[in-house]
Amino acid sequence: MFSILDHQQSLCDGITRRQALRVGSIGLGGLSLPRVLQAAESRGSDAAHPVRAKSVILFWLTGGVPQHDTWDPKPEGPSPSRSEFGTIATRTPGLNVGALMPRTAQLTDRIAVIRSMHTGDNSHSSSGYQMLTGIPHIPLSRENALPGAPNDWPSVGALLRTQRQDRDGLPAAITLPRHIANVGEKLWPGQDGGFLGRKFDPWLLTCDPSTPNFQIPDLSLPKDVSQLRLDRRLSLLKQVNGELDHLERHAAAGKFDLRTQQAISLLTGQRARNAFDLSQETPAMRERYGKSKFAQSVLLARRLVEAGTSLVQVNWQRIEGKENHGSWDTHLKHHESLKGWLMPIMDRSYSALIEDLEERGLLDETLIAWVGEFGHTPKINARAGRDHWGSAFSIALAGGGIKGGIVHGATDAQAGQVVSDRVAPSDYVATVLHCMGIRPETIIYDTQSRPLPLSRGQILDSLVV
Amino acid sequence: MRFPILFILISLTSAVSVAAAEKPLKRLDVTPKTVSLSGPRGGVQLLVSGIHANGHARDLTRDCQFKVTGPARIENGYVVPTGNGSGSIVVSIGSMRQTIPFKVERFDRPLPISFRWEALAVLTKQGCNSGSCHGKPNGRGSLELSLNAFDPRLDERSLIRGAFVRFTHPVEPAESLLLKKPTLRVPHGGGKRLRKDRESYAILKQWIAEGCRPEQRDGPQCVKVEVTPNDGRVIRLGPASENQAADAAQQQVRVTAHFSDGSIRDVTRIATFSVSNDSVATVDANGLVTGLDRGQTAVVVRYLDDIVSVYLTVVRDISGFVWVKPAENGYVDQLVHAKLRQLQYLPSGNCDDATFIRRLSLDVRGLLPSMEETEEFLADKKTDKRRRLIDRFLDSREFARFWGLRLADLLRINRETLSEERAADYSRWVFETVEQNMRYDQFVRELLTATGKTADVQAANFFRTTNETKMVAETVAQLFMGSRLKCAQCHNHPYESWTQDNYYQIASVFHGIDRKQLEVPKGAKKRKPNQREVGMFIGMTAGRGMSNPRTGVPQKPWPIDVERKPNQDRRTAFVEWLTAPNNPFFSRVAVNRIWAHLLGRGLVEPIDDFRSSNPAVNVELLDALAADFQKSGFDRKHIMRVILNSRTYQRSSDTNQFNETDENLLSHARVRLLTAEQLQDAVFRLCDGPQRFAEFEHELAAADKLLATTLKENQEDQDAAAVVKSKQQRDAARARLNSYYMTQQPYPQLTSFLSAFGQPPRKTACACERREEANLDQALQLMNSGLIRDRVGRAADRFGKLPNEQFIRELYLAAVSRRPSDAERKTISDYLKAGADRGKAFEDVIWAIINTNEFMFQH
Repeated sequence: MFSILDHQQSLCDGITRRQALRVGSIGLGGLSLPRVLQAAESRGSDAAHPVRAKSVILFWLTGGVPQHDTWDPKPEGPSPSRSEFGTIATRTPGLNVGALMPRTAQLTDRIAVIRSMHTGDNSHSSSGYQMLTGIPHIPLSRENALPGAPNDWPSVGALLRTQRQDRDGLPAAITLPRHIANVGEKLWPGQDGGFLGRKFDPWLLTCDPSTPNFQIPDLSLPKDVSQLRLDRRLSLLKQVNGELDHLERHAAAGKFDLRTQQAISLLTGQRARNAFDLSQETPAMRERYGKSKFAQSVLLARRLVEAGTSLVQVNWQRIEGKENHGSWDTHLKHHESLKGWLMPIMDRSYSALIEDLEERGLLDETLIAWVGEFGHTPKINARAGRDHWGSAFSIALAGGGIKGGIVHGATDAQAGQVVSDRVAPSDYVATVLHCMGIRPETIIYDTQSRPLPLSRGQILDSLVV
Repeated sequence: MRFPILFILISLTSAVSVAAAEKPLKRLDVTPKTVSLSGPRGGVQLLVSGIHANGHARDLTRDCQFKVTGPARIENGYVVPTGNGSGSIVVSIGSMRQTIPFKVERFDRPLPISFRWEALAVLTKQGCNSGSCHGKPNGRGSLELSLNAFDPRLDERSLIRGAFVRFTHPVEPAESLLLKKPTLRVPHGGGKRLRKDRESYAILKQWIAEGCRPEQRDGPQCVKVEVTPNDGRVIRLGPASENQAADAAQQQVRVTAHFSDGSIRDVTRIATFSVSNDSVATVDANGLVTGLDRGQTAVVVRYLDDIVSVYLTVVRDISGFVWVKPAENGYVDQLVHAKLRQLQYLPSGNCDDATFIRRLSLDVRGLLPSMEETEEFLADKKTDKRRRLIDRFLDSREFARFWGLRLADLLRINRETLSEERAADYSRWVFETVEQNMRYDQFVRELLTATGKTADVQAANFFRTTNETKMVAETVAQLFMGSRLKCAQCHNHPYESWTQDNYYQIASVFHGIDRKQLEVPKGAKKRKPNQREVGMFIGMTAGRGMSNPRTGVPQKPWPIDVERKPNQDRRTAFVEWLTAPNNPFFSRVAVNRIWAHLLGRGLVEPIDDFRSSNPAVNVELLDALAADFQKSGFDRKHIMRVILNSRTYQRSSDTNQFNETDENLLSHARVRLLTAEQLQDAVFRLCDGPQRFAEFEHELAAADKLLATTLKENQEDQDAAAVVKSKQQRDAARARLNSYYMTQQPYPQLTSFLSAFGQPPRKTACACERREEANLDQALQLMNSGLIRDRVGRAADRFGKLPNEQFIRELYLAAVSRRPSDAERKTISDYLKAGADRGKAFEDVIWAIINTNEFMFQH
């Protein structure tokens, strides 16, 4: 039995190596270069197919997707594989899903379900690495696999950062509201820039958007430095900097100056900070997504996507005091956890996002992915829980570039093995890239200058428009 | 093993004259002197050089006239046979002429196509087996080839028998998929790669028509590839001259392969060409180089496993450029100036004293000079004051600590792998070797042949941070041979001559390393050490070499031509080879690292990527430094002294009209951001004042003394209460000292500030871990981080009580090592007067100084 979340961990603190790497009091680790400076040029779209999605919002269900109770219910299956909650009909004729997702069920005409995901890996961190990067972890099923190997593959967000530029100081890939780690804050691999280097790390923003006066501390000035005082400082800096102006003619100093301008615009400018200002949303809208940290992070993700961010990954929150630390790793009291908090939060925020984007006319250009590192066992364990299962599980894609009302692949009678159209994580990654108008075979270079394709997966043609 | 001409010494005259083009020709030089052609495919490239009166050579291959008598024709100097027999070629230009006799044999009965030496060479040339096409693992489509044909047997299987024998069709060769695909007669993902009218197509077709014969296992092997010209030739761009058209700033290259049966073949048309710097020159498929802009480039020639580079310099007249001989101090300046003069860049002048002391202090000690040091130096009127300052800094403890840190970076010393105690021991040993200026060959010998308990033999910890054979081999190659050998683990290195066998030969040296975990001692110790602390026993076992997994053949340890006794430690001969005076890597890699640390960029860059296709910006200088290093007995400080005393090091970063475009030829100082550790220390040193560190040092000395006394009083009883207490005090004092300055400790903690500025995580031995590109995070850290906020507050304490005038003066001396200008004095003084809150105004001023380019950058 393995539990991935550490209940002693409070939500937005804890100094770990990773966090130290990332933030400091400013916390813009990996926040990278503005559009005009970005070294990687945009490859634009592939003429072969139209660009559909401009952005991706990734729901990351840390602990695993319970396929039996969501996308792949087996009402006719042997009893342990049957969901206690039964199934409900959906908007799509012939498609039934778990009964705990009534709102989502009404939106299936926008959703493509993949029932035949397979990682062949039963450990959180290594299977997670595979789902986050599209590349199997070597070795498979290594629990507490750590990041930092020089040949780590970049996360999907990092891959996107090589192809999409930052906008208004906001990096092209952002992760909310915390990183993914096993007990003891053992960070998973596959969440960073990997062999591309730190420059491509998605910007990890550890925060709690559900707090009443939510602000990004990283972009706020300290209490004793008012806007006015900062302006005075900057004007003084300008005067004293003038003395050795020949330095600016040198490439290194010139580049740094541009970064400084960028930092100033983040600290003093409004555009990027507006994106983070959840108070601009009506109370009704905030209510619609749900009040939890996860749900409010999803709402924040929508604002970031509107501001031009290419990929926002929203990682599942921890819920203190709940079984399995409130994660989807339901070794304990599986059904109680699903009904009590997991599915209500997920169903509400997921459906709210789809509807909200649709109302704003953004659904066609926003790809929404519902994924986790694996599924759950067809059997119920002695503690009324379901354990790790990488042999077969479900994910769902919706919105930009995706055909709705589709089911891809199938599993056996207990949703334990894939029986048709097996999908590898690399195929899912290739499909996401394709929906973004990026050819999966686009070449990137590792630190040894070896040419490597973004993904070697096959695009799932039946899913894409 | 092949070491091609990795380091060609280009003879260089200091009096290069651009007017050479106008000098009359003295003679013609044609290569080869006689031509023998075998079979219809036996073409030979002639190379015609005009030698001018001043000794300069230029290519006239396309400018001269050829007159052929006999069975051959000639085009751009390429001789193609037309029948059996003999004849002669008369080469003439103006009144000069030379006659080249030739003969043609086997025209009617040519030798069959060699699968390896012709067909695979053609596939390599067309890019079919490159890493992004069929040469990638598992190939592309149904055709898998080995990367650059390094594994002919695999290629044989794939091409002859692969995909159900679909690729070749000996009955109707032209219908073979191998020819239809790349000519786009059927769709091909890789696009058009072959043209029917080219020699490549003919060779492949002929090979198929002859029945797709595999390579004879015992057939002749290529033993050497020769590229001419290899005399460091100069291409002159510029107006037309007597014998050369204006657009003919070109150079033909000729490639010959020497085989084990003594035969020599011209392979110019089937070899692969590229250039290392494509803004300087381009090269076409036939080996014709065209100069584009002034600069230097390697022309890299690949013929199957062999990679040979020749270096070319392109020069151009810059209007208004006049060489004014600058002051020189030693061979460094002479060689740098020769290059600058040849390429027409005018060096900047000497930097001023203030810039010098700041630059020197940061480079040598990692720290800003103190205010007192600066004032004393600025006031010194003696002419040798720079030399004396260099000596003083090189002899300081700060120097040893700072350079120890850099070595510790590369050796990946960290407490996670080694435990706190072992990491401390190991890094202390590194520090001592720097402080004592241990001969570098000695340092490497002790490191690589370390045997014993890691608690006793500190260097043996090297084999714990590199904990498996391949990792040792790759680390050693990267650190001491400047080679990124990793590629050769799975296939021959794509850009250099290291083969897969070589990889396993080097690995075999370290294959027998035995890492024995020592038992945690049993007994009544109060605090039991853990396994990592107890450490390992590092030994060497006899054993077999590592096998190349592709061939299954166990490899002899490198160097393979040395006889070793079965029980002999295999590392000894390796270290002998590595540190021998004629080793092409060791000294060059070492001096290049020193150069890069001091000048901000290696002569070879990246500093651990030495290969013939990546030439040094100044080959002569690298060679001279390496030779000096050997002569001095591998004395690192000597090389530093030579460099630091040179005008090249002491140059201003200010540019002039004739060097502002120069990036790497050393005509002006390189402006660069302080490293992560330097920057944090600079902020601390400015804000806290340098005495804080001095106090810590003093405390540690006192605590050491106390401990010694206490030990004596207690008859050396380690467990006596008083001793334990003084030990704790000593450790606390050491910890305070060690954690204060980042440049002065061997393994600084990873922090957000340091990490933003590129502190290496010490995961690999690659110098590329320390990243230097500017990013937004850095700017935000400097403007808004807690670290800066805290320190700015403290600085207000340090300076706050001073009267304004004195504050401004001391601030500038401490931060940028110079006195403030009148304008600066006025600006700041006005700012201080205008603010209502004096404390806050102080903070603002200090914040602003920290955020100036002058503070953040070394210039």
